[in-house]
Amino acid sequence: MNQLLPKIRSAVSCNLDNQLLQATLPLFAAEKIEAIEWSFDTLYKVREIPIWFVELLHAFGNEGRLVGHGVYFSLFSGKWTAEQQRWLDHLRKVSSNFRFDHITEHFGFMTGEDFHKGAPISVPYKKETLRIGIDRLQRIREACACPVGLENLAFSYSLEEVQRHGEFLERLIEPVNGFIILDLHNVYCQLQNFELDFETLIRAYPLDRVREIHISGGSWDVSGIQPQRTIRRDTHDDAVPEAVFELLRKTLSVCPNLKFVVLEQLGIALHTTESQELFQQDFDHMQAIVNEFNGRNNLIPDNDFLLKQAVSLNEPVPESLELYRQQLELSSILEQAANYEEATRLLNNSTLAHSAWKTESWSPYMLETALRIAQKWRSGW
Amino acid sequence: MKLSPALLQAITLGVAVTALSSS
Repeated sequence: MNQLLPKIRSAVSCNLDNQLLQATLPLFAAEKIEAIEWSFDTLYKVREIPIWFVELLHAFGNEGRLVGHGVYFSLFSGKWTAEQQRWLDHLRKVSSNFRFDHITEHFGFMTGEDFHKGAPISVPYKKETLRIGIDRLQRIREACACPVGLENLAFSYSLEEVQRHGEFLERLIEPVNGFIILDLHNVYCQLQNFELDFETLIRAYPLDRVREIHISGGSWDVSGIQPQRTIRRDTHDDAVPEAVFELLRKTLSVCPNLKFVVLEQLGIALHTTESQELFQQDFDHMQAIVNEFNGRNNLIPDNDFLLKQAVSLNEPVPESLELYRQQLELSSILEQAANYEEATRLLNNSTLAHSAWKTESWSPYMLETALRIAQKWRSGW
Repeated sequence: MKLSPALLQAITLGVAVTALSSS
């Protein structure tokens, strides 16, 4: 390895979740963890963060090894809300307390009746949504004063949406010199659910803008309307499949600006000693792949994702009440419909019919999956 | 990354106390 080239760091998602911390503790003790990713907006139920957790964040932050990963901002909500402003205020505050190397959020808008409920769902790729997304990213960038990025979605309604996702992401992040988190389990979901090949799909993403990679596990659903079909879900509740490690091996060499590779898993799936040991083995496996690549890496980073000039925010805040109404309508259908047939009937009679949402071309088994996702998360975490 | 022994001990204790109280 060229000694002057920065090393890609092996990281874990690290939140105030006891089972996740129990699983991670031996890795900290063995000095294996090189960076941590904290979901800074998930502590809204916690009265006081323990001092030891604050010290842990500072220890990594002071070394440039702490990254923040938001969950609830809902980037593409058509309406600008007081909750989003509060989220930004919170981000500004934590960014002044901790030294983040970068901040990220999810692509999409959140279904759910309030700010902390629901799941991220995609939006039509058109000028109006692009304008809203760019504005919200500029606000995040202004609040955190460090590089910002977005994660690719795991869920798509149609093949066309999958094929256009990378290009739309690039147009979205370019004005803030942003980057993407390439979540390889999300890519794995797309490969499985739309029967695509990796080489074709990966080239649809702006690989020079990948600064972080996620790997995780997930689960299989069986379609009720097409029983021979299985759907891959990004549920973060199982060990990492070997296929995702293979995607990691293939991806490292095409991302010249990659800085962090993060292992994610939800604490609810780490309640047994066996599952915690599997998590530790997954980290070791991931780190071995990253270290092997670091040893022969000659890719030269050419983007620090910093801004060359101050962010200029739009006033008034761009909104689209038509988009907002459609999002409410879609959320209601996804959360309330008893089955795929009812959801289809409701969509055909909604304002989303024959619109940029292109609901007529949604894959039936993916609409069925959208119902399951929305109904799983409508009560929050 | 190496954490100080004091911080590692504090995390271990914090996790243990939380595990105990949550049961």
